[in-house]
Amino acid sequence: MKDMRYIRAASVTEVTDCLKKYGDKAKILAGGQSLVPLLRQRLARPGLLIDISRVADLKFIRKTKNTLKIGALTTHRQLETDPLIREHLPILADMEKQLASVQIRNLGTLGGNLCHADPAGDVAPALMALGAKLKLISATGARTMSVENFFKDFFETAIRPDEVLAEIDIPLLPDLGHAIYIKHSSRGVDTAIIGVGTFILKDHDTDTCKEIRLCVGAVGPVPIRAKNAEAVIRGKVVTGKTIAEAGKKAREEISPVSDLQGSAEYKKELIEVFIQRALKAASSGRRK
Amino acid sequence: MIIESSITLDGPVKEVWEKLLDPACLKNCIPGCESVSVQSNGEFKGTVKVKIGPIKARFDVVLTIVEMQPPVRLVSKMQGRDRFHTGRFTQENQLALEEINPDRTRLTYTSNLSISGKIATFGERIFRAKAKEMEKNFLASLSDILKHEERKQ
Amino acid sequence: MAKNEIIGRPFARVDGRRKACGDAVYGPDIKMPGMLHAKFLASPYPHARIVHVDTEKAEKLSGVKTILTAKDVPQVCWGLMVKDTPVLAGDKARFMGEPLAVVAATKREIAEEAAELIQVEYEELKPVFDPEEALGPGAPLIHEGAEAYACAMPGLIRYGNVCGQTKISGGDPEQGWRESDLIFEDRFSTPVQHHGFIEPHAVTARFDSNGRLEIWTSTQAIFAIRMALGEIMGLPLNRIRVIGTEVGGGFGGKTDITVEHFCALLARMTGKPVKMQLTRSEMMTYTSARHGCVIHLKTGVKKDGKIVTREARLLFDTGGYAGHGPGVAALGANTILGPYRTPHFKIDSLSVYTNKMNFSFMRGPGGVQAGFACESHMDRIARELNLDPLDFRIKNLISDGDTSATGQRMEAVGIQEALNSVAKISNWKQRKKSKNRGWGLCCCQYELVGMTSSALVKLSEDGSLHLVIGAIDHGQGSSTVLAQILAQEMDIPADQIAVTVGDTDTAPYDTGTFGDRVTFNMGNAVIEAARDLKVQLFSGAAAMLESPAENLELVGQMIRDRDNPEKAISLLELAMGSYFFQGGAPMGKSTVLAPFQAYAYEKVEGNPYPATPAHTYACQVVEVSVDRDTGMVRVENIYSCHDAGRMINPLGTEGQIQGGIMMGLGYALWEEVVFDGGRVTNPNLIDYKMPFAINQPKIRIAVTETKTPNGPYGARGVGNPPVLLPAAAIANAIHDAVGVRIRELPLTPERVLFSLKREAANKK
Repeated sequence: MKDMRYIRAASVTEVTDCLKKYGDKAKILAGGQSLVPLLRQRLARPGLLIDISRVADLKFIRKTKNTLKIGALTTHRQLETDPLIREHLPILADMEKQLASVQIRNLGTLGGNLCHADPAGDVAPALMALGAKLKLISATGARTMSVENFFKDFFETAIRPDEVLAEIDIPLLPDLGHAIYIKHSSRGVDTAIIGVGTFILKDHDTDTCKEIRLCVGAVGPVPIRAKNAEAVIRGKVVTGKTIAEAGKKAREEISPVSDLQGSAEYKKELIEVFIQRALKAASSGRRK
Repeated sequence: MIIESSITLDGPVKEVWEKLLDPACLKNCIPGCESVSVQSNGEFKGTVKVKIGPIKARFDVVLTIVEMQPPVRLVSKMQGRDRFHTGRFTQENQLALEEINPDRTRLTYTSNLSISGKIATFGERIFRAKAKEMEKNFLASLSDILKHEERKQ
Repeated sequence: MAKNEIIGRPFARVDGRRKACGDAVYGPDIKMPGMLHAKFLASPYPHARIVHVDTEKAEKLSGVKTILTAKDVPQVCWGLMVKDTPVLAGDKARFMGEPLAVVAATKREIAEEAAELIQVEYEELKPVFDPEEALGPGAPLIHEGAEAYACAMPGLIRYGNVCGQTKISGGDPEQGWRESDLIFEDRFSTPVQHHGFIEPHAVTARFDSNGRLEIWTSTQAIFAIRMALGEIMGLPLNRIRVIGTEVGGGFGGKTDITVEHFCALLARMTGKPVKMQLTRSEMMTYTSARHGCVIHLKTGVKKDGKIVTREARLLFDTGGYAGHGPGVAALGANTILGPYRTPHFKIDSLSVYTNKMNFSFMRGPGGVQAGFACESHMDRIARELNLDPLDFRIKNLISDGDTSATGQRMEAVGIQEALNSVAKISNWKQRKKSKNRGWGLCCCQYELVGMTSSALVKLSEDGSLHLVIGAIDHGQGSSTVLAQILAQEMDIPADQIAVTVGDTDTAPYDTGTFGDRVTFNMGNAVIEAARDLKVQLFSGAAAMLESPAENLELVGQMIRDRDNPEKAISLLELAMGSYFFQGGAPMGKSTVLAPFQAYAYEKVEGNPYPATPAHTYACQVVEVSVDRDTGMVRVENIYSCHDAGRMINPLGTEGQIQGGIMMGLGYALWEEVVFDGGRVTNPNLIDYKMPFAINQPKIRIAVTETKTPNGPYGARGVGNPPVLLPAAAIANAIHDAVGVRIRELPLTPERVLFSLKREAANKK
């Protein structure tokens, strides 16, 4: 800690300039809910801490024609309570209610959560299900990437050392599209033992499933899509039978490891149960 | 924690055995390994860098051979200490090689890993998974090298 | 006299305002000029010979003032029961996390870095982690030469890795088995629980120029700390002053020295104040926690549900050092029959060394483990006899005049009334049974601790009263209760009384704040001290008022003649007169050793404690719902009834019961210090799961008052029983809901789900 410098950035440009100069020696501090404990334990020892918490340009929730754009510094609590979110993407408000405690939600940010890339994070599977895109900015320009491609390994993302995550761009739900997020944790608002983000779009005439994304968190190094389970559902009418089969497929295609949260065998059980629950809830259209 | 696995490798038992005791091969196979050398007392010394997101550790590792029955059984003990004092680990390994046919060898591996210090205190959940993954990558690299070896011949 | 005005009325805490406003001074708040910070080096091995320790590199680090290793510290072993604990591990380390060296430096970070620079050469020894294995013939001995250790408590049974064993027997168990129609056997196991106090252990020590040691510590027992320090430092006790800071939670985890001796030794060596504050992971790997325990129970009953006989074996894993282990095993033995009449019994309870940290006191020690086993076992018997769990218990309840397992004549047995009351508030007989929901019942009988309490009541020059005692209020509200008692005795508003606690220089001796003893025992001491003061005041006033002292009474801060109320003098006048003209400063003092009926030693062997002066009673009904797919248990409702003997402060009583229930709830559902061999894998509050506020179910509390003859106004402590109840009540409710009996805590979703799956597979 004694060799660490600290800069409080006022603008995105200042952030990217700093990153350009210091690269992976620098670490971005947003809400501090993940990084500060690591600093405190001296497990993380960056040479420079760039505090972006005052960068006003990264705090917004805006509706465009087809999407909601959310600034990376938006706090979990804002996401939980914002009227635009509640109206258009209630899945996110639901997800936030299950994420840690109000105190943490008041400080922790959406961007911080994604960039910390805890494989048990709740935000990622929900955003993956929605097909969200991330805007990454560096001194030399900006690029866009889907959330699905963002995560590389435990706590590792595709973000380059000179980039900052600026914005999350989420497509609005189409008519007849439904998205939900459910999780299991031992004390209700704990680290997820499993989290499932689901998106289903049904055909108006045939009631068959046109599009489906089943995104599972906390079962591997990165949140993943249960593609074999999706294949069971895609193009079919969602019934008790297909749901049961999809649950089985998901259980087969995902190999969680045992840890303090639960054994691999227990997590396998949960995968089947939660894929089924997610499909049931999303296909019944209880939630838009 | 116990890590167990088994893999079938290309190459005769003897060659696999030699690879396993070859510092250059070990360096290439152990994820994050920066150096390996054999000491006069038969110990292996090396450094291994492990990075998990913002957490970086560089372990000074000493591997001692506890028991050896060439070319079929190797019992070793590995101890590592992070240079930044974030933690240390001890790993007891038992490795057995078995001939499937003259060109194929089955490697069976059991290791008991114990991580201590801050690094373990803070992220047991992650380190367990990471250790499993490193072991998987080690075997994959070894398998690769042996395959490559055969092509040369 | 306006009696009963203060006792039994809700009263705001005397320490409430300063705590709410943030000016209460806790252990970590102590700062002194020139203060150094200390850290210790912990053994990375659970069992290892220490071959060589090299501090040279560490000493060179700038800011390091001194480093002590085993050879630099007094060669004494301490321990409250068995003197088996070296100041620093020297020849060998007995658990992972045991201190081998301590460093004092100008900054905490420097001390930490220095500790990591100490080079130690170890030779690993074969460890043993399972108490069952530790008893086996080939098991490694954790303490070679344990026979040579001195014992602070008489009559301990010790051999091999056993550091304490209590045996209790009564009736004729063999005959009992013959008379039984049915015999039930169960094995239970319970996890290690961390106290989880918010405030870490924090100690600051300094020596003055006269060589006198002053030490500030967050502790429950200042005199116990002083005594241990005297022994370790080689100082007479009058040269040590222990000042108890405000305590942010103790729960039994702050009754012994943890790092006080390190600070004292470092302060003596450096001549500077030295502070040490533990991190959560240090607390969870070095300081004490609740014993893990394995319990075998075998009970014979008649077809009609009468208990005939019981055999019990309890194995308490006490870790690398004895700590209070032998006493905890004794408490387990005393509790394992529950509040039930058992004609024949044989109980064997052991405290066994293993290579883990030292387990010791935690709220309801011994009783929490035994309570889970006994009450789960009782529930199983009731179910298999097709009896309602309530009726089965009522049929076997003890009552006044019965003899306890250890030979005391039972009195003020409050369980019957408590059970009736909980059945009423939970509507037990009309309980509704719906799918995957179930109801569980649990009773408890526990013991409170007596021993010595003393109090000093000073009448100041202006007639105000000051209570000076050694008993720390560690958050449970004792200072408020004691102020109420003094107020009652002196007929003065309680908020006009000042209470000073926790300074060995000013307070008379007290054994400490634990075992539900402060309200009970110190309460009696305060009454005695008040009465002693009144005798002095009446004798002084008698001369002034020219009335016989026996005619005088104290009402509304006036002393007056009962027969002639005109003859009166205010406390102020009396104090002034006393201070300047007659008799000197009035001080009421008392010392009370709680009276108790001794054990019937022909039935009891190896119990290191004196018998309890009073038992405590409580019972609980819990309603749960179980998610059959995930194994998740939701506690919907808790109804809990506790016998307080006599409530002094209903606000405090209820608060303490609620807090205890939450601690018991955590123990039932989530909490477990997880070991991988000798290593704690979850020494942080992310992975060690205590209940959140949102996990609190609806709790309805009823209090009954079966007056305890030897308690103040009939009161007894209520702190421990709430923790004894939830685990068995919830396990029993799970059985009622989904038909599986889980004999191992905590009742995690995984454990519940796999029990359900096993049950389903068995049925096929």
